[in-house]
Amino acid sequence: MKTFTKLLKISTLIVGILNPSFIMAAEEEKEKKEKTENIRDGAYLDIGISQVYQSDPFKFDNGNDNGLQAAVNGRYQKYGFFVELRLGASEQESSRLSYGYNFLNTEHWSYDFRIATNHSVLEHTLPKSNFVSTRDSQLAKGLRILGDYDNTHLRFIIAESSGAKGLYAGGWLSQNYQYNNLNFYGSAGIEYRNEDVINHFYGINEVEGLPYYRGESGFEYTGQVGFGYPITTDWVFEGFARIILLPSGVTNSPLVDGNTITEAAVSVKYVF
Amino acid sequence: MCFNQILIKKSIKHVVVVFILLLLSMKVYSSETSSLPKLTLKPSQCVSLRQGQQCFVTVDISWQVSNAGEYCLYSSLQNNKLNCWTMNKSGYFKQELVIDKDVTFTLKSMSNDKVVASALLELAWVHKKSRLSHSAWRIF
Repeated sequence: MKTFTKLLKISTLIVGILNPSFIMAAEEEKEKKEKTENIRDGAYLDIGISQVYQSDPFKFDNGNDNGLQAAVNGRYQKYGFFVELRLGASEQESSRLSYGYNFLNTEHWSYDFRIATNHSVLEHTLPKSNFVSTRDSQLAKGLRILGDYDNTHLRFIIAESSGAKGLYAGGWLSQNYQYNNLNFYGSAGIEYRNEDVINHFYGINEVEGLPYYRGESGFEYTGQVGFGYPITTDWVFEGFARIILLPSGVTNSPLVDGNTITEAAVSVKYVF
Repeated sequence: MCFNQILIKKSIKHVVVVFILLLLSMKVYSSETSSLPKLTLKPSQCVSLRQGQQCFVTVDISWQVSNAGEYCLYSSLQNNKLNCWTMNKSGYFKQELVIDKDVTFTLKSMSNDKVVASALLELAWVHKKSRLSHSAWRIF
């Protein structure tokens, strides 16, 4: 068997010397494979449990998002097509389920065509009438660009959104730091929603008990700090605190009685 | 049943119990002696959050051999010995480390300069590093 292996190696070497294209062909095949394989193909999943605190600027939603919550982050991509699922509060983006196609990757940038919701669903139980006004968040198509420079991450999104002619745009910058095995990050984000989006979620039609309201388009600002600590190769302890400054088109709405949202959470997650 | 029969039965029981205990003690003794020399690391793994990051760990190193002698402890991170012991059959050493690769610790006998025992401190991580990685996607 050893002799056979030796002979095979020697014959391969001879063929290679006599015909360099034999080796080159193998290398070309490898390069071709690397080119056709999408570098972001693969799967990621973590599940965990979070203790969440969230301030509530909505007057009539009767919601209470404080307490223990399940947290799920999942992503699967094959041949560039991907699906992403986020449940839990640690992300600075309100999309839950999204899917799309990763059509271009350069050294530092990645470009996705994506269908996602860009605002969470709101439910308001309106006073006097007790009418439940549900503001659905619809899936809408858009472009997402991700930037990755070692410890600096960027994300830009421009997309259609809920509302007749809803338009949404967002940009985030995140910087990571390491102290011993503890990882910190600080991130800042700015999001724009046009009048159609604002009024889809925060506008009031002629409904008993609340005045008619139409808001302006505006920018929402987010600042977040967080940490991650590896407990083992599978378990991670994470936490974050975030403040969101709402635009006047939202804060002037009769449905809203605050101009900020503060959120904080600690989580224990299992990474598959 | 007569008294003699009961006595015989009890005696057999005692013999069986003594025999089992003897076997067990022999097994423990043989496993103790066969596992020497040994070099133990606690923890045996240093875990960072992301692949490629430096990993910080305080490692407890203990060793045990069957014959007392002069032994020295080495690591693959440096050429100099970490510590030496004379006329000892066991030893303990604690070290704070910042690592970016696996580290091998070796215990050498100074009488013949031979490696007596070795152990690996493995570098591990949670998130695999890749360009435009999943961790980048989920950072926000």
